[in-house]
Amino acid sequence: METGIQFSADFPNWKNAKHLSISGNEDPAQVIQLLQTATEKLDEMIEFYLKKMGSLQAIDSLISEAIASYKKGDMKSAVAVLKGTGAMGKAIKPIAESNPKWQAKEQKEMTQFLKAYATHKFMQGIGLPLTYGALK
Amino acid sequence: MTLTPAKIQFIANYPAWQCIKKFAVTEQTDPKTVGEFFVSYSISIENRLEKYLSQSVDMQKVKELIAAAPTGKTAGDIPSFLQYVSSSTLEQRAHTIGKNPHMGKIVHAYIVRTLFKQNGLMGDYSGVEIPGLKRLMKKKKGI
Repeated sequence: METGIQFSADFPNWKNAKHLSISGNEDPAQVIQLLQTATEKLDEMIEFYLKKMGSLQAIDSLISEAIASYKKGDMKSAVAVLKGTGAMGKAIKPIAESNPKWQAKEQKEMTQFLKAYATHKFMQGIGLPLTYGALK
Repeated sequence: MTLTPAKIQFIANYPAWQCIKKFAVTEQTDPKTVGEFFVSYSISIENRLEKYLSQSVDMQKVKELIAAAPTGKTAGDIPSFLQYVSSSTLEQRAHTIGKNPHMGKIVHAYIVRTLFKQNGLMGDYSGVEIPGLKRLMKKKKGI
């Protein structure tokens, strides 16, 4: 195996291949750039597979409302999105419990996935993306 | 829209880091399994990116900006917490630490991500507790 970093993604919406040879001391800036490339579509991919597990429409509507309210200086909806409480908690629950095969630990995992999705989308909407690949 | 069949592969092989992440998706692959792979993948890569970031910028200054943040643990704390993380002052200071716009954005995201984690908020997917993954990570760290 060659020394360095190799990355390839072969999805219909994400095709990329990069290689960085590293001999001796690696250049942090070059490695950071490659690692960003290797994660640039992750948010989109996770979102796609979350949507395969259930409709995120109710969550998306609440995120849009929260972004609009935040921009007007009203933080109430933002709090519900970040804490996964109130209307957001109610929108997440039925999706996390939608699969009869999922037991408590899977439901907890899905709840966390959806909370992370909502918070992440909200932060992206107010101009603060929190995944490094999205900053590329 | 369908995204299958598809695959992703990431290999790091040099003295400082050995890592292999491979995954193939077919029509039969459970979407939750794919999501879990992407979470595990992002944790490995983003943690390493943060390690390289710490070699590239003055982390003492970064820690000072993190320490200066108000708490964001309770619902009542969130407004002032959000005001801090989205302030242009924090963004400008992060950009000064990063020394160029690209690194400035990364420093800013690092500060906000760290603050989210400290306050139990999920700004990214690294906090998702995937059954089995936590156990594997503890084993790797020798906990």
